[in-house]
Amino acid sequence: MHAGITDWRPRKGVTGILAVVCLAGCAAITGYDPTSYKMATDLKAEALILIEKAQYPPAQHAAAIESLRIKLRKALEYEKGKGERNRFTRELWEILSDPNGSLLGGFLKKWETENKGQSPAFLDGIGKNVGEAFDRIIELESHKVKD
Amino acid sequence: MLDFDRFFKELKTGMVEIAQKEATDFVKEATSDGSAFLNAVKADLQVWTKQYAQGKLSKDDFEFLVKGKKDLAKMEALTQAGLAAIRVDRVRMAMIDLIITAAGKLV
Repeated sequence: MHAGITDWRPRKGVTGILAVVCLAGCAAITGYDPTSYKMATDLKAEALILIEKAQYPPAQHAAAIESLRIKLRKALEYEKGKGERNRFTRELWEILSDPNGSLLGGFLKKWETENKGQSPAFLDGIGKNVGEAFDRIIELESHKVKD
Repeated sequence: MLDFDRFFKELKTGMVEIAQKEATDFVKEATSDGSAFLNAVKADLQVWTKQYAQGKLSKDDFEFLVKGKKDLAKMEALTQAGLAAIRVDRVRMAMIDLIITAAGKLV
């Protein structure tokens, strides 16, 4: 009789070990990263303060606009660098910072293109939308598994 | 003698319990988050429609804000997908603990 048929118990043991090894190495998403969390919360505050200032033309805030754009790009590149398992967070940053979208990236482009101060009602609305967008990024990061 | 049958029976029961609990919690939370998002969108759209009618928002600004909600809906969906992946990882880690605990009883 073949050993493979009668001696099934050790095979089950091997299967169990392989299951542990596979489970240990197959995370579906990246773990919690305090740097990512801080970047998101810091940039949220910075973005909302800049939005409040957009009641004036963009020229006097050109340096702050450029600085925020650079920080957004840095955050996106940082998240991209974590690879495919970080795709949800990376895509969140892409939507938020897309200059052709209608959140922060799109707002900065609109403000500069129109080259004028924005209405209080619009600033209330965009502040709310951008704040919620950052909250999605912060929410996802804060729920990630901590080591 | 090692009781593999009992080992695998315990594992199977434990894994089903973990998966069921995580799945139930996730469906509950995702449904609640989805409802909260839709309610928030509805409230904002009502305010903006009124402001547009009153001339406080231009047509371009109104459209920009509404498109922003569309972007936010994509972000909400991505967040929920990410939270589901986190649940999968929690189940994975709970199963590793379960296997190690059950294996410990064998020796």
